[in-house]
Amino acid sequence: MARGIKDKVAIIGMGCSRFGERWNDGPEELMIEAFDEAIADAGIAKDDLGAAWLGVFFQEQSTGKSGLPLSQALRLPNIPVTRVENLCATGTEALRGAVYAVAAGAVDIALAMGVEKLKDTGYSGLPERTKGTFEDLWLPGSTAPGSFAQLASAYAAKHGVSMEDLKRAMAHVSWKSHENGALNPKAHLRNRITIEKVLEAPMISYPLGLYDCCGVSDGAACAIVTTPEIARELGKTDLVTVKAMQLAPSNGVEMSHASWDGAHAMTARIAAKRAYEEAGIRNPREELDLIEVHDCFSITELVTMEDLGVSGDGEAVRDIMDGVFDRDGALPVQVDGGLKCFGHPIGATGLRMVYEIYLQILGRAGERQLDNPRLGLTHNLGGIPNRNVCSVSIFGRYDA
Amino acid sequence: MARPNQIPIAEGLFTWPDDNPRLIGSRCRACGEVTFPHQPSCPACCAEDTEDYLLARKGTLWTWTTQGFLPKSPPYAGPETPETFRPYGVGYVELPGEVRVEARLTESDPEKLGIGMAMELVVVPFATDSQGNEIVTFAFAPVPKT
Ligand SMILES: [Zn+2]
Repeated sequence: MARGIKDKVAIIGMGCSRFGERWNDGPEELMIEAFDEAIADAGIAKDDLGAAWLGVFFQEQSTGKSGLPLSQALRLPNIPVTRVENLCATGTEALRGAVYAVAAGAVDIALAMGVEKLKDTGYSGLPERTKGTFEDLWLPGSTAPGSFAQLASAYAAKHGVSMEDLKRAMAHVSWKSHENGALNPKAHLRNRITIEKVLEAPMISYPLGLYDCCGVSDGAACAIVTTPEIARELGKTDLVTVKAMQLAPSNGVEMSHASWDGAHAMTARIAAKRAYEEAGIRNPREELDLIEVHDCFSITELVTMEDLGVSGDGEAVRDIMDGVFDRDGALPVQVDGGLKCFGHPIGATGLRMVYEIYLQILGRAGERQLDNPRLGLTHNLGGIPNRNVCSVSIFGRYDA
Repeated sequence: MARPNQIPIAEGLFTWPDDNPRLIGSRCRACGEVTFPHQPSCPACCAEDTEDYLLARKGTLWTWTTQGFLPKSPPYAGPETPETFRPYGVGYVELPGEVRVEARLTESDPEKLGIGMAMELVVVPFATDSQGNEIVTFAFAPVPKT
């Protein structure tokens, strides 16, 4: 009987590039920027790495196929490099590969890198998709905002929330990310905004306005992982360990009759339940100290609070308006600005979230440092509400 | 009513020409699972034995939005330009006991759309191809209250 990943793997170094419109840098420079920080943090040499995982979503635009882009950018010592892609969970999936390799005892020290280089492809929003998982040719013309807007319509109807109240709670979510992003020197968007500005913004897909949507960014983030024993041998005292890494992809039942209410993500509830079991968490609202969720749209963050079980069903609007998830609230969410303001270089996003948890637990988060956090959760939702890949991971102090 | 130079956006998607068009799904001969569009195998029981199944023409609006900007092309194949684009409705329609279908809606006014309202399948013009044929696609329209 498998006992899960809890405390089998420690993160000994992390790095994250500045996110944003990095016109003068290619994916190589972004990966090097993240890697230089991580390897200095880990206090190891490149030759100590036993294997690496590379997460890239749009390889056509970003890096090209295969593990070569990472192997070449860092001139790794011919170690195995596996390239992974799993929609917006791509970065977290790169980490899961590295973590599992260490836990299996196959390698002592592994690297997980996520990168995306999109801004000079001319796209805003997401680049075109090609043949595959989502309908093509005859698709009705819905878009990412259109798909998540329908989550908002369904949520309002299910819980009897007026659209005015829902809009105001969603505006609070975006306002909060801008407040937090303003304190993050690596964030793509560092401007503060007002609730009124969010509410008055042009409509993108009813009821989502411009500030309810995140953009995409250029950036890279990486982690170096090993066993707690080797970490100790390397002289590390404050250890951050992996408590849980769970992934739940949709299987199609969301579109079967009456199997899903459309007002939440089925996969998120499944992944969260498994992650809490793996980490031994019984009451996430009490036990977690910070959360980084996949706020591709403000409504996604709102609904995810319920999917993760930190808000009761239908209670996220009230919790948000009460400031529970603000930086000075009981359970801060998106302390680093989230996808909305830190940015969304798709392949790097999952690792960027882990980076914030890691910095916060080690007390290195600068102006946005929380008071002695011990356990943090990251969440990615790749795809659309009815067809997605959802990851929920938990990290914490070794003794937490 | 179909005109001679109308062609559907994809083959095997809906019955056409047809005064009462139906979406073409499939039903598993082993377990009865209904899918749309048609597929030869069943995701529910993994049998490779399905038959064409014409979906109900009427259902209820399950959730919806108004697409407020011109989607990127490709994959979007509509004829509009940023100047001519008008927001259009998109939603999921639940066909009772069968499956949920994502579709264009003929209505785009948030004031006139609501979850649970009765909807009916229609076939509407979508674009014109290089030979001058009118490409038609499926959509759902609110059923007029009688
Ligand atoms: Zn079957």
